[in-house]
Amino acid sequence: MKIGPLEVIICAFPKPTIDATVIKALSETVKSGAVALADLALVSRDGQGVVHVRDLQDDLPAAWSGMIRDSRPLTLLNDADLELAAETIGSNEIALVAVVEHRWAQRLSEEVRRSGGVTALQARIPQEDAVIAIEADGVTTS
Amino acid sequence: MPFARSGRPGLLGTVSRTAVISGTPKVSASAAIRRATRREQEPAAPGARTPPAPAPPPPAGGAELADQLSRLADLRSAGLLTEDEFAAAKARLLM
Repeated sequence: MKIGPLEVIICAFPKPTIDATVIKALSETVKSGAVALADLALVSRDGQGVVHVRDLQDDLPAAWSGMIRDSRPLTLLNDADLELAAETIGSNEIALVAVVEHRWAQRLSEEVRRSGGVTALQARIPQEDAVIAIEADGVTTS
Repeated sequence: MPFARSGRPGLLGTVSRTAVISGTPKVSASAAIRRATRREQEPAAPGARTPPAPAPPPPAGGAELADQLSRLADLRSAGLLTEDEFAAAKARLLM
């Protein structure tokens, strides 16, 4: 199985539910085909601070499960990963943990290889470095 | 499904611990860590290129502390931390 670069995104919300607009934004990104959702978990804390984990094998609303386009979701995140997500939230809060696969990068690398090239570097630039470079070019960010 | 997930290698292990110790905001996981450590530091002014200050580590138990100290030493050996950064990070771990 070929797989593109994976990225883990943890989004923490100061409330117990995730807005439909967030689900829609993620869903549309997945539907564009640029990324695939390789794994997903919702980590929440109840009023007593107890951590609850739901993933795609639980009864998540169809809006979530519809994002998995392959035969079955993978189980890539482990307990330690989910604990890390749990540390980002307090009581009555929820965190979305998504593992996205950069399919576009995999496709690009494939074509580069086919034409005899190599992907010599693929680097994610930290936001602050990007801002510095862009502002040095005379463009105001923010 | 915590049971299905236990025993898996996971994805964030190395990334997040390195980010915690070195404080380098180069991976998205470090944002989560900073949040987890409860916003103790002022956010850097936009555009300011400040040297990475070691983020306050989570409270560490004995084994975990030893593990973190050893990772710190690794980072120093690898040249990723200066002596000063190493000393500062170590002092925080031992606080």
